[in-house]
Amino acid sequence: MFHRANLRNNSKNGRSQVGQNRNSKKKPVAKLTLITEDNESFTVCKKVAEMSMFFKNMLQDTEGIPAPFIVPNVSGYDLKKIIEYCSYHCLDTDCPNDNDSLRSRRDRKIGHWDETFVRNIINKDGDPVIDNLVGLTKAAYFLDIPGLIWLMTKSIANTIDPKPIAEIREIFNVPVPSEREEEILQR
Amino acid sequence: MSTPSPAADIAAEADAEEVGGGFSIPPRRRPSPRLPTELLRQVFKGLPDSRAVTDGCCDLRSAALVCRSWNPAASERLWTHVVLTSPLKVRLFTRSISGGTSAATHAATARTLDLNINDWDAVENFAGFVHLLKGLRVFAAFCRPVDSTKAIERPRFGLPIAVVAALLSSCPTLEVLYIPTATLLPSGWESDAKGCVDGGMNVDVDVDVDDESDVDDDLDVNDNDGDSDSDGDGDIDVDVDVDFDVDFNVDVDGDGEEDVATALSLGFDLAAVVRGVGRLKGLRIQGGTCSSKDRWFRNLLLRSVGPPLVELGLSSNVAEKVLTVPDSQADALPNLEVVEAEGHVTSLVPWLIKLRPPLRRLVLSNELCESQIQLAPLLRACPSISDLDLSTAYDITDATLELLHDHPPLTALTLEITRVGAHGQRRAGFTSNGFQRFLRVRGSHLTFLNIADNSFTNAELLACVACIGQTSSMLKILILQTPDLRRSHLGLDEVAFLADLKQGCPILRYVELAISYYDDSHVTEEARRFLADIMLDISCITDQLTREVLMHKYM
Repeated sequence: MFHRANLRNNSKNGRSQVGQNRNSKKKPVAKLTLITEDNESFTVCKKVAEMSMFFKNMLQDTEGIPAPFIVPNVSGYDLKKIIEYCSYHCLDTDCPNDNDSLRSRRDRKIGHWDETFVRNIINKDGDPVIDNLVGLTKAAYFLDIPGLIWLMTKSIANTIDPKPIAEIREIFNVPVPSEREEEILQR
Repeated sequence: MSTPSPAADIAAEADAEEVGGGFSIPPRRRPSPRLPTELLRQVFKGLPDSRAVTDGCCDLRSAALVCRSWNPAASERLWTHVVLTSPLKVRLFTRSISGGTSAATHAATARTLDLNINDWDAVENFAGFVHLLKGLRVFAAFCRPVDSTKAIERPRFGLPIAVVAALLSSCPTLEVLYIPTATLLPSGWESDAKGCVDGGMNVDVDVDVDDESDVDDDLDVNDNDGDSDSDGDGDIDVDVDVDFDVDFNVDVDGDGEEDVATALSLGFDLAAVVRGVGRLKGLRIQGGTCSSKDRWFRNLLLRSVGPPLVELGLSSNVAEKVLTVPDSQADALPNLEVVEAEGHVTSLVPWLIKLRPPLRRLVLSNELCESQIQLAPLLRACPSISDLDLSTAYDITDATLELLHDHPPLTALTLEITRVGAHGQRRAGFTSNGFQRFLRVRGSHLTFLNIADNSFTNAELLACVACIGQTSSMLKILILQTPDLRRSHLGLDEVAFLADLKQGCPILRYVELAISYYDDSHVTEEARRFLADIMLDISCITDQLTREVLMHKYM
């Protein structure tokens, strides 16, 4: 499970504090079971889940770990990627995950790990890349994960820039507007 | 998962333990992936805004033209921050905001307007459209540098008074106003009044009649025959070689009725403009070559600043046209935190001593001795200054540094002596010992230090650097000249001293050495590796980093 993965002793990445708890007799880390719209089930530790403001608020409201929680509007694929992102960044103090910090660091660049994360979405076979990017962006938006929203919207912007209109339409599978519609847009 | 990271392991482990079993498969989605408007807005925020530097706004405009669902979010950003870089674009803009209800809505959306043009004569009646920008908060005009031959061809390079007056009187939310020098030639101010009249203001002004009587003799107008038209071709002949500083006998200090009369002659409502200035949080004004009426207007702005003001910038790059700060009508400026005076600005220091604002950052980059004489009372009047920039041409001596011994520790300090002596050598300023004394007494809080232009020998400079390492452990950015400037390359020997410095200043992230005079390739590979090892950036010729960029990047 993800929470167990987080307990791995990973001192190379400065994460040994958590790792030291692995065999201790402290109370077990709280877990949250999530079921996606396409009926996939994931179990994550509370710290990972709390990267999502949606889950954080929910956990505060319920004052404890609720029964398996159904996450509407999020597919299994998207949730898996989201958990991958949150598992990495929940201990990363250098990566802001609140809107204020993100606003104050406008010229922030995409980090190395994030770049690989996005590239892996791109390399996924099956659907066009942009579909996965958009789907993940919407899921991050629904679960309110500011850091991931920033990363995904920035990646989509990078996909658009500096392409001509025709190419952007092709990427997003937008039909070419009629002459009259184009005139309206131009106006 | 192929990701070579802990997260990849985490994900892989998770895959194996999914309760649902098996691997997730990317789902088939709708043929045209759609993002909600809020997310589209964020995507467009991530698009580079190339409008200010290139001849178009292709990225955002492309996005606006993709489809109907994208258009509102992209247009919103285009309209929220308007950048106009040519008279043609200004004309297109004014046309697009004056054509009906939707155009008025668009105009009201504008929050920031950046104007980067120099030929205001090519822009007709912009002042007449300003009232449509009801929601405008920031107005910034920039003048591109122009050469002297074009200066003769074009009568105006600055912003007409009418435009600024209209902004201040008809944009109730305007908070920041950055304006450059108003005019270059005397004929310029005539078009100010023309702009007002064309713009529909209710004042009927005959500029020629009003001002002909006021024209001072030093304007060489050939008006001996009474009609100012010596060759009878219908044009008034003006000798362009005259001193452009025409004295129109305007009361520059401005009081009461004379102000009202001058404002009327220029076609604006004085009270409304004064109210508008009183609301400003940011004001930046350039002095320099301009007419008397422009100077009067500039003084009017400075006299009328009010309590909301947070940031004030003054600059004048012409020695003969000193920008004099007039007495403020405000009793106090309780929010003024930043004052930046560059070039030929005078009377600023007494003004600050009188008003005692809670300054945080002060730049005195001028050539006037009054700052030196009054620095002590100024520091006493404004003990909150934590960021001091004395990039001045007057002497920064050990006595200047001793004044800082009694001031609370600074977090940022720039000491640059800009003037060189008669034979090209640097003027002797503060000594290495004097600077080290300052560091020991008040150097503990420094995070930014710029001592690039000093007269130290190599040994003295290295002694200072060693002292910085002992005293300023919070330093993040250091700007200093390279020991032995004449070297054609920067090798390990030249940067070795940084290792000791880094030990004393563990969070030091950037050191600017004067290698920007050379090509990047002059930094040896060995030196690069060394700098990478101690995690220190140095400046490169391609960087051209300003203070703001450095602060943003490394602080």
